[in-house]
Amino acid sequence: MQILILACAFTCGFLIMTIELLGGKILSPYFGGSVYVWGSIITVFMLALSIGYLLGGKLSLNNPNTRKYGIIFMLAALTVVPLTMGHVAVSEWVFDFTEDPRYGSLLASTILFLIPTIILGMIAPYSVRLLVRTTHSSGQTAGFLYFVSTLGSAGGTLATSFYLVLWFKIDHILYGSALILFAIGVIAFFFPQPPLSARTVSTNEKAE
Amino acid sequence: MKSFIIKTILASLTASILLLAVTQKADAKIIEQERSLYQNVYMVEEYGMHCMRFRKKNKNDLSQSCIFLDAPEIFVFDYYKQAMGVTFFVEDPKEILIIGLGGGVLANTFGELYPEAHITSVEIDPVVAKMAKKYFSYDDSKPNFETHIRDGRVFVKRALKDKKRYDLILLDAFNSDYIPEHMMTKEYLEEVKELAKDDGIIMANTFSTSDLFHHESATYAEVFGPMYQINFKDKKTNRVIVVSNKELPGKRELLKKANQMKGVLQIYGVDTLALLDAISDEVNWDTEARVLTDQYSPANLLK
Repeated sequence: MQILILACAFTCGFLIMTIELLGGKILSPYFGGSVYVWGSIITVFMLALSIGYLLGGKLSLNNPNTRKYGIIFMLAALTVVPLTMGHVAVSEWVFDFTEDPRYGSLLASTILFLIPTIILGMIAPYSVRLLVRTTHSSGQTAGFLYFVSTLGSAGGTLATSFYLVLWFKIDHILYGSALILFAIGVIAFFFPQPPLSARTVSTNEKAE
Repeated sequence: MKSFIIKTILASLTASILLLAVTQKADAKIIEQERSLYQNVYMVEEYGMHCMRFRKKNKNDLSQSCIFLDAPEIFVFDYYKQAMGVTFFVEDPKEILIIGLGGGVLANTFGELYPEAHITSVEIDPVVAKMAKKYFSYDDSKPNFETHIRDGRVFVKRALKDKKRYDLILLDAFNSDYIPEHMMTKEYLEEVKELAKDDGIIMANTFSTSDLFHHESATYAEVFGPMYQINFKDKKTNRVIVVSNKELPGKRELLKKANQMKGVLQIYGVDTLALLDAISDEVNWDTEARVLTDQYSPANLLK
């Protein structure tokens, strides 16, 4: 159970950075490769993650279980598909009426990346909720979760920029990411164990 | 183990001091430097030349643009000479577009060769454009010159939308350190092709070494079909590609044109016959190499 959730969080961290890095390649034909294009992308990702953390935390209050957890992954996968299919059309459309490449890239990355990244951002706090067993160890559990998911992000950054772009087309990497997210979602959804940790925590809290 | 580490540290220290001494000894003087959004821009005076560089290291091939102080019209680099080969392909171009101004050597030269032409230069780095004006006598206050501080690809897309068309397009946006990957793809070349008039000529200053040579050649061939390459046999670092929307002229026509240009190009130190010799339509790349596209453009990893 624990291992499953940690593996999910790792993959989620990995794929967030994969998508973010490809963002630069997606936008550069229309808005250039300058620092402000990266600024736009990073801004949107940070904003989306912050919203995602908020929503994921909120969602975890209400009967947390691995089925819902799996659904978040599947939803994330589904939002990566229109991103992959529509990025050329969206970039072209934004380019048509935005002279300034700064605001062009900001608008385009908002349309393309905000929603998928919000959903991906929900996974980290939800993972914490599924892992935490006692209030005493909650900080350590959260810390370890951050460790694992950020390690995933480091891996995703390196793998994508060093190798994936050398081996595959951008869209294939994106579809691959969606596929992996969906597969994880299905695994988590059908994970046989009942939401043990959730129950343990509530009983523990009552006991204290 | 410990002594090994100490030895290694000592050795590398000595090495770096030696290296420092060698660099110091060379006859190079930094006369101005400025950090831009994209790079450090250095203006260096050495061997009677002014050079623009993006790195401090003292290696000649790292210079982006150079001119001789006492004979500014004589070309310092072979690639400038190779670029003059494109004059054999055009007849009094009226609208010229240069993507990648650099020091402005090409802009200035084409301005002199074709005084009637309107020359539009695009440069992403405002500091580079500033140095071009200050040290390379690039003067865009002249009515037939204009400069745009913009990403080249973004400029091309916008110009297409604005229905601009050019007789001659010079692509010169790469430096040896870093390639803007979105400017070495099939889609970009298709946009450039569309931006050229029906009989327009496109010239690109590009690489002739590493795997990238094959990928890049395959990409040009995919978009334009047949192409000429201009490359002095003994010099390896740069080559110039010439392609067109229409059928390219044969060698005999080029010879005729070369004879016409002989006198003018002599001023710049260009040996017209050697240049004509350097022009080839031979397919010398791996035609199976993967074409670079917006979807697949790891140019810097292939370098």
